[in-house]
Amino acid sequence: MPVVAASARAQTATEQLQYGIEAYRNLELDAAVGFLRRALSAALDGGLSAAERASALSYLGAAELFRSRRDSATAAFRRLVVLDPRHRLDAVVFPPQILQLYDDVRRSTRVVVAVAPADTTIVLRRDTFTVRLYAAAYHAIRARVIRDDGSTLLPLYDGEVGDSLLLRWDGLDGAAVPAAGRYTLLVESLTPSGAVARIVHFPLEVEVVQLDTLPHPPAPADSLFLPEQQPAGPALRTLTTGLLFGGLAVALPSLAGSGGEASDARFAVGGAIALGGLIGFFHQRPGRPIPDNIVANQTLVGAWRDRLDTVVRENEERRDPRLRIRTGPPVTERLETP
Amino acid sequence: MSRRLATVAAALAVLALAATDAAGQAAVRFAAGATATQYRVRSTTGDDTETLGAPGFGAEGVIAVWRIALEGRYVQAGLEPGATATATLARDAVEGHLLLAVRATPWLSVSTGPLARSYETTLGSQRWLLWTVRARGTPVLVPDAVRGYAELWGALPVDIDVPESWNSGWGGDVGLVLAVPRLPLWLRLSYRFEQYRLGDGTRRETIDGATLSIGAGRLQ
Repeated sequence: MPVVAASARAQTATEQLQYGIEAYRNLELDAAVGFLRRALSAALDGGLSAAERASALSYLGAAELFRSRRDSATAAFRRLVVLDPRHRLDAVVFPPQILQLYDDVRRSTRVVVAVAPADTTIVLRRDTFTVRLYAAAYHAIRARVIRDDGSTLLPLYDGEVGDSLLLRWDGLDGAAVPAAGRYTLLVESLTPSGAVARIVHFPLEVEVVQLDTLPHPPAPADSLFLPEQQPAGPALRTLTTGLLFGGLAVALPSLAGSGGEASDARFAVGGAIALGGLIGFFHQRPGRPIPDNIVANQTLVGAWRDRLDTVVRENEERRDPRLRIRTGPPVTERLETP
Repeated sequence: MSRRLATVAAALAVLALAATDAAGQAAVRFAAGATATQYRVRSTTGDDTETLGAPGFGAEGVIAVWRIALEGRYVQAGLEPGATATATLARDAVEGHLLLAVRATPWLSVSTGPLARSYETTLGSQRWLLWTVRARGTPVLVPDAVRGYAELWGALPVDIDVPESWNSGWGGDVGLVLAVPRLPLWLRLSYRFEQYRLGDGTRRETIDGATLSIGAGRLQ
């Protein structure tokens, strides 16, 4: 079935694009141009994605060239270059003469696109807000940040751009923190004579953010610390127990009224027990350092200091104001040809 | 009899060493050891006193689960009369006890169980079967190394081959236990004293002496 007949039912921009491509492949070039122009028309433009728009312009330029309308083909390709300077035609789909024309248009079109995060936050005086520019051709540009009233906040770049360029803004207004509000990154593409060919307006919504500092972690409670020196209690208890048990060994027969008949070995055993108590006393003598407890306390304090240092570092970072920057869709304004 | 005793002691020691590795820090513990004791017996009836003594040897062991322990000890000695007691017959003494113990606190346990003792002479034998109730304290003297050891107990007769009626009986064992650092070995030195009164108290049977035990495993 001819594409033209089927197209009567086409409603959406995507459908128009598909019929246009199909008509192009069937060499129904007039119909293809019609479908593609309708797909790109203002009423339907919003219905195409960026990739679909690029595809529509590619086929439109090719169809126009095959219809021997070189100017129209050039205009379509220029729109494509302005839309995406990095775009390249598919060499499998399009013949060499189409590719050649597109490359000629791209090299002669002075335009850039700006790519940046949609929403980012930078720490002032530490981070930078970066915007990458992609150029269609080698040319001179001027880039600056302007205020909402059009006055220049900060010039960023004035020079040549090749394939791409990274612009950095430290977020400051000179050395001061900028006021919150709307700004625009303005990139002017210049002709060899110095005239402005195109201007890319890249809207920036700036918000100054000041974070609250974190509270310092409390020092370990006294109850968490272990005694680092032996208290008197255990040592005295040990000594008392040793003497008591030693005395009990000696006195055991006397409890039965047989002290004089009992073995003298009880004195040796009693003395050994008392000696054990004495050794225990000196082992736990009052004031003697307790290495395990000292290490445990040092570990406790060390862990607290680590947490404190972390908070102090975090607070030092939080003292620096931050800039939240949200970007809008860039708009390219054409002033001169090409 | 000595060969049998040595075999039992050696077997218990090997078993204790093996159990120490197997049980590790588990709730089950096992210990066994050999005992050498100064076995002194003094029997007084009115003004007459018989004194006998000799070294005694034996074995002991304990197996415990959580706070419950089963403890046993066996000692034998060939008692000879003292130098002043010329009319006294030599006798072989064999004694043993089996106790069921409950550890109330880390340093205090109570136990109960039978105590059996037999004296063999050329004229016949005399057997004592008693039931004992004991309390034992083992406070720490030197952490991880030395514990004190004191056990006091009272006895009730079950079967005694003596003509006199039972009056009273009690005993005590006081000493210290040394744990060998980094090895599952222990050493205990203690002095024991037992006294039984029979009839109206005119007959007294007293046993005392120092005891040295060495063993393997975890006593506590």
